[in-house]
Amino acid sequence: MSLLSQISEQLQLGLEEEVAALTREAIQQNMTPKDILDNGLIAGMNIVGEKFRSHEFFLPDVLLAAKAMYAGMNEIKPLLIKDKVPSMGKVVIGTVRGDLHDIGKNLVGVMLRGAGFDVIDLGNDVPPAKFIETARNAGAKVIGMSALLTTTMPAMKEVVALLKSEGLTDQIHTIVGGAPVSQEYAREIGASAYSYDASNAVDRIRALMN
Amino acid sequence: MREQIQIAVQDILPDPAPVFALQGYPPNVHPDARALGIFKSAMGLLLGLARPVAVWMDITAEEFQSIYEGEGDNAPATPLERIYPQAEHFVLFAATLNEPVCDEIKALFANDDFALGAMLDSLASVAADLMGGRIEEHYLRTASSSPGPNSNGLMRYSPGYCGWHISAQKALFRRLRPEGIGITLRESYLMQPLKSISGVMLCGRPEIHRFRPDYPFCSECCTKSCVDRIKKMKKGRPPEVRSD
Repeated sequence: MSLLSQISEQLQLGLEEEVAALTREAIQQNMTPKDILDNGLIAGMNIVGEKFRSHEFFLPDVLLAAKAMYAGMNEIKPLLIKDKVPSMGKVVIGTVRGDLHDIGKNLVGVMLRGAGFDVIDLGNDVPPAKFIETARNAGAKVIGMSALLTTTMPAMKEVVALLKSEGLTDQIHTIVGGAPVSQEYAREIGASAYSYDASNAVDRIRALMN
Repeated sequence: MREQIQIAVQDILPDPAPVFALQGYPPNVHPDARALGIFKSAMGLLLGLARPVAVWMDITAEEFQSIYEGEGDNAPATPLERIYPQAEHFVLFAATLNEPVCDEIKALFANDDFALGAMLDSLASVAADLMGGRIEEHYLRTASSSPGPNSNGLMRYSPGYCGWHISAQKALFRRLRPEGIGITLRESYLMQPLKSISGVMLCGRPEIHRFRPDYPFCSECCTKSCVDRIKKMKKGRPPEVRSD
């Protein structure tokens, strides 16, 4: 079995120390950081995502795999920066103004990083303008917003409206999610996409990036 | 009467099933040993960090009416507006697991310990709900020696559910003052610490709590917990009170 396949396999098992050690070995063998990332770490996370969708894996499995992914990433990060390897894209995420619930948003962040995206997490209780200002300054193509309450959902609409008024909807897409949020609501407020869970958010954002 | 009560953490330790349900496990799937190990670790953290405390107070029907109306944002028709006029006793309550649990969840995520952080979050959510049951039991024990409520039919309702708008939290907080046990209300009507509960216990005949879940907002409800709650409330049979 190739070293990259081993990285992918150990990552799927959520074995962080093994993933870190194998990644170091791959670096010593002069494999490029992009090769390790694409064909070892991200390849492993993609299989984890498939297994999650088919109910072969569940949330703890995915999150342990993500931790292993991070362990591998920590080994190659300096080389990725040195080689100026671009990420899958930049995404700004946050829980909307007034809402403190961040577990769902955190899971989206974990999964996005695991899929190779560059994530800027603004935390919770984020004012609408902050989403846009951050995305514009960072050159992010997607803003992801989460809300757990019907009372805080309207802040999502404000962000979309603000993007529109600033003429940025062609450059910055929006994706919304959270317990009370639905596909219909996303359509109603003019969001680019809706996702029902963290794994689905990765797929949707990947589609928005393309 | 107004009373502050300490709840033993041991009395709100959740079973694995509802916690794994929150983690997305279907009922027919048994978590593997690794997931159960994470559950056990999260349970250890909850035991060490949770400081459950609650407050409750009796109020009058008139006082509750004003709390129910809140900021005037309730759905046009709600089950509660038909239930509460038939209730005999009205008891406001609030309870919290306190901030250290919420801080630990954040710290676990910050340290890339996502699986344990997410498990502790689910565990704490279920434990927070269980505090409601302990308050009910305590109230029934306390009230049984006074001109007591009709303990055959005691049920909890909370702002934010079943058409009762969450903005009613403001009026509830004004009356109950749960700040004394460390719960504050944010502008968005969210309680801080997050793992807190609040609402009203309505006592009366069991049948007053029965309603058909076909209100417009029922179609958006993810839990449908009312169906189970109504089923459990059998006519003439008092809810089980723990003896410990």
